[in-house]
Amino acid sequence: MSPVLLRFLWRRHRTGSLLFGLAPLMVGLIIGLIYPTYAQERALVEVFKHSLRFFGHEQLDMFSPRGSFSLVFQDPLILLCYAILPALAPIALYAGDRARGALDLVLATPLDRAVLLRSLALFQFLQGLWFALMALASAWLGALVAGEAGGLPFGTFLPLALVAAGVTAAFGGLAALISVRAPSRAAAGTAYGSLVFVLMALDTTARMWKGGSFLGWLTPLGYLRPALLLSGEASWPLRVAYFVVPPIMALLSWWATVVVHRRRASA
Amino acid sequence: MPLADDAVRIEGLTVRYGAQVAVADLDLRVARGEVFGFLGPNGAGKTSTIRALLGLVRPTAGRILVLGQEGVATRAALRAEIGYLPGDLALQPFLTGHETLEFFSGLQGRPPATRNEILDRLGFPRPALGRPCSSYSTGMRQMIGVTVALQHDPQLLVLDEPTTGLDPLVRRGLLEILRERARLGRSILFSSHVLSEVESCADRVGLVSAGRLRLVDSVAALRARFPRRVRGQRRDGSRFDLEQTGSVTDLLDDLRAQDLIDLEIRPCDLSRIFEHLDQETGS
Repeated sequence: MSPVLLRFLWRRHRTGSLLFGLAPLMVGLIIGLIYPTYAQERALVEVFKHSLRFFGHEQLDMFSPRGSFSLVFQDPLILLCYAILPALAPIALYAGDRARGALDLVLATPLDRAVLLRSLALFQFLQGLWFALMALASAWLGALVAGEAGGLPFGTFLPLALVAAGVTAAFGGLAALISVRAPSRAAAGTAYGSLVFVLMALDTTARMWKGGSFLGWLTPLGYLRPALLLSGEASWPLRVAYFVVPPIMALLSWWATVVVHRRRASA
Repeated sequence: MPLADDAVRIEGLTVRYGAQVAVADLDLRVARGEVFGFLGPNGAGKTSTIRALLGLVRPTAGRILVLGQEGVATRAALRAEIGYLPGDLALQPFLTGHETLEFFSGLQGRPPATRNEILDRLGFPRPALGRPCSSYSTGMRQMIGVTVALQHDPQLLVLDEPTTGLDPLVRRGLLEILRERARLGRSILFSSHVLSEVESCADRVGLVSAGRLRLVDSVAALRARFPRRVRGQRRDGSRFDLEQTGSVTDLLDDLRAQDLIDLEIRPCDLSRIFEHLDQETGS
């Protein structure tokens, strides 16, 4: 690892990272504020039953404290954050700086290329962890605001936070793989954006259509199923898969990134 | 000269980008303590050669030794001995000048022994170090780039068009710094497309065009070999424009007989040198 590069990455992405941390905080606080009115809205369940399937209402009552505050981990805005936040650093440092010529100056120093990629991976993982911890804290904060914290100890959503950290790591690996191949920041952004769109579409399909639930296995987002985890309905192999598969996806993506990088004729 | 005495030795370097040949079978040697000017028009293959030398592009063919060792791309200790200034310098706009110098100093892994001296001699305004690089003029950015390349006092300096964007005074200061570095035993390879810029500082120059090294010689030999341009105006209003090779004394003897009111003698410029080379090789 290169502490110098890690400091540089933090300097570059500190504002973005902090701003992204506000997203779960906002969602958590909003749910906390409106939770007391949920009881009146239960009557609407039948109307929104179909859309509530997205969040796993069939496994876990989404109007219960657990179900409601689990939304901090699977609100569509948060799902998008899992994909965007970890892509910022690799797309800027690799595709972006290479196209501008700034990467040459870095690679001409004694900094080893493998160390560069490892530092980037570590930074990305820390970013994901920060985001997951913010989501964990925000869910608890929301429960506190709603007066439900007594029934929801701080650690209630810890498994979800760990899975979320794995999911962001997986997206980060995919972004790095695309970035190391792309000729420019715009090209990397376009390719990655398209991939995220497809992966989110697969996840939505898997959530909404029982017959297509297997599609969820093809996307990191498919391993984030708060309702199944919190309701205890998930079998133990499934629970293990939720925790293990996203990090494995991340490792495979980073391995492929290193291989592609080595094969490149030009830095 | 033994291999270990070469700061740079390039043998049969070929760099292709797809079907396009950027560098073709190029041989080059820079001795330790030498200032070598790498001259050629834009697109001649200078930057590709330099990038291959630094391991930033994989050569299609050929062998490159830097300070007597191969594999610069995989040898961090070897890269620590190199100071590099890219041709199209891109600094991070969000970093201040000071942060930029600190960042690269951290990556270079050595204390920035000569940083303050370089900044002072280039005349970089110290208060501006606290400002983001995005607010710098082209010349200020180039000064920061030069300082990045020199601050750790490397054994080999590889500078791609280092005087770009610098005003004449700063340019002169930089060339003086390079000469001093060479006197201290540092080796310098720098590229340019302006011959006059190189001649004040380089021991030898290499001329490259269309990816091929056309000629390597001392600046003096180059001047002697290619004709200088002589333009003048006589008192009767008639003008002359001719090319002359050989002794300046002979030229002045010839001109003395003429009643001149204006005279301009210019050394052969790079484009004319390439024209002469093309004529000599019949291409």
